[in-house]
Amino acid sequence: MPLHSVDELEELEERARRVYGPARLSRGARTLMWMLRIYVVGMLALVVFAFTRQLG
Amino acid sequence: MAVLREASRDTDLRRLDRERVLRVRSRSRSLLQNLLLFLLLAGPGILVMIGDNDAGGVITYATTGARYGIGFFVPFLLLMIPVAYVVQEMTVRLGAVSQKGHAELIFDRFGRFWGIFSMADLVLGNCLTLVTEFIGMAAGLSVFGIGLRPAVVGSALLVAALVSVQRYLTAERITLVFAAVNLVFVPLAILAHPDPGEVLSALGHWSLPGGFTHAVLFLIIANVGTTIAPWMLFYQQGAVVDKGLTPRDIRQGQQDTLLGSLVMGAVAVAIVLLTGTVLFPRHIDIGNLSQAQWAQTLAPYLGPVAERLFGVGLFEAGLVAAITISLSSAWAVGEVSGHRHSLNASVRQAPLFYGIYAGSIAAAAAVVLLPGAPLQLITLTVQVVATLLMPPALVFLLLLANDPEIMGEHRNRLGANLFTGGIVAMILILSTLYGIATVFPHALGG
Repeated sequence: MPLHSVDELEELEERARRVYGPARLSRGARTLMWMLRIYVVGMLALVVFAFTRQLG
Repeated sequence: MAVLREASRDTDLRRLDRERVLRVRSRSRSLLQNLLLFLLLAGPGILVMIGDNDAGGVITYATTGARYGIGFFVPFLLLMIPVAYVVQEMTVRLGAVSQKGHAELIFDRFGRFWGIFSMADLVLGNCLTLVTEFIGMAAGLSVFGIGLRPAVVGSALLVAALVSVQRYLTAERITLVFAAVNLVFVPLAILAHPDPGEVLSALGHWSLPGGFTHAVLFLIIANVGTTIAPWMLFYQQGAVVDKGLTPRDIRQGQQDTLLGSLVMGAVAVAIVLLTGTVLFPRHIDIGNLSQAQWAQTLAPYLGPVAERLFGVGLFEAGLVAAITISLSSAWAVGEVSGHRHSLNASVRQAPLFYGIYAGSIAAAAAVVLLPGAPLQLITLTVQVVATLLMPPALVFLLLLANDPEIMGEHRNRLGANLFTGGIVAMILILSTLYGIATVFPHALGG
């Protein structure tokens, strides 16, 4: 196998082994996450509501 | 020695694939060599987009055309092509640069809670969607007189058989052959003889017969949901990693995604043109049509060949989507559990990966065979659920694609951020309107 292929694969495997720690989120990003959480719960509740109403 | 070979099977196969790519890359940069390189590296982008034109999607497009004609939804769907491209292109860069799947990166960067949340988001959407794929495959086969039970069981065995090759590249190439059948809707649309003048007029006017109602909003959300969905992010990033694409292959990955987006858009528009031309002007009542009845409804106007072509297209749409969606679940579970998750691994090497794939297929097939399940309602609701779950997935995608520690020089540019931010805003507005229309059904005049 040519050397460049070995080099490339080793680089890929090194990238794959790399462990990323927790991201440092800004306050805005954290607030956005909480808003998303509320959004998802609300929307899923709506879908269930609409679904049951259609079934009824 | 045999044990050692078994243990490194996936790495050896990936090495073999990379060796082939490097051989082509090292040759002269002629047009033919570039094309050969593209053919070697293409696949994830085309498959994710064709997988997106799934059985539920075909029925959503058909319903859209039959109810509202081509006036609004043809230009709307053309607008969705860049939306799908911009979103999916980010997963190419993320996968090639990080060599990690989407679920794994979310766990790593945003912690356990959001990791589990994203997985739940993915699993819920995938379970519902897979059911619709089996409904579609059975409906497609029913055109040829095959009963529900043999159609569902046979389809499940075919979907399961694909991964038995235990080789990423082989599975991808076979799925690409199946995916090519998705284009069958283009000659079907041509058979319908849409008026070119009317199509051009639709592009300029965006007219919506009956005005903006709850039903229209539901169909808009369903059409967005069938263009971009959470599973697509997990699938394409997982496929890019399993295929072994590197940062040097990003350009071909982008071309692959662009080609897939264009094919997806062309097929979506073709289906709306088909039913918008044949059924809409005749005011055919499609309210209670099952998937199988769609093909029969077209037959009196376009002939039995069209009926069979529609059946073939519906079967293919379900088949390719069942493969890609099940793979997205299997890759994601493998990533977060830390177990081996590669189509290049043997079943003995990656039992969880293959178990999730086979288990999700079996579960979806079983639901379709359950007597009395509200299958038609599930089909349209799936697209709506997919859209509603999309904003969190897009926000994570944006944060990851902008993460300098992961992406380095490949992180998002301002244009991609603004465009994706706009998509998130559009979906949030649509979902809010949907919420209002659900609680107050007459608020939008519906």
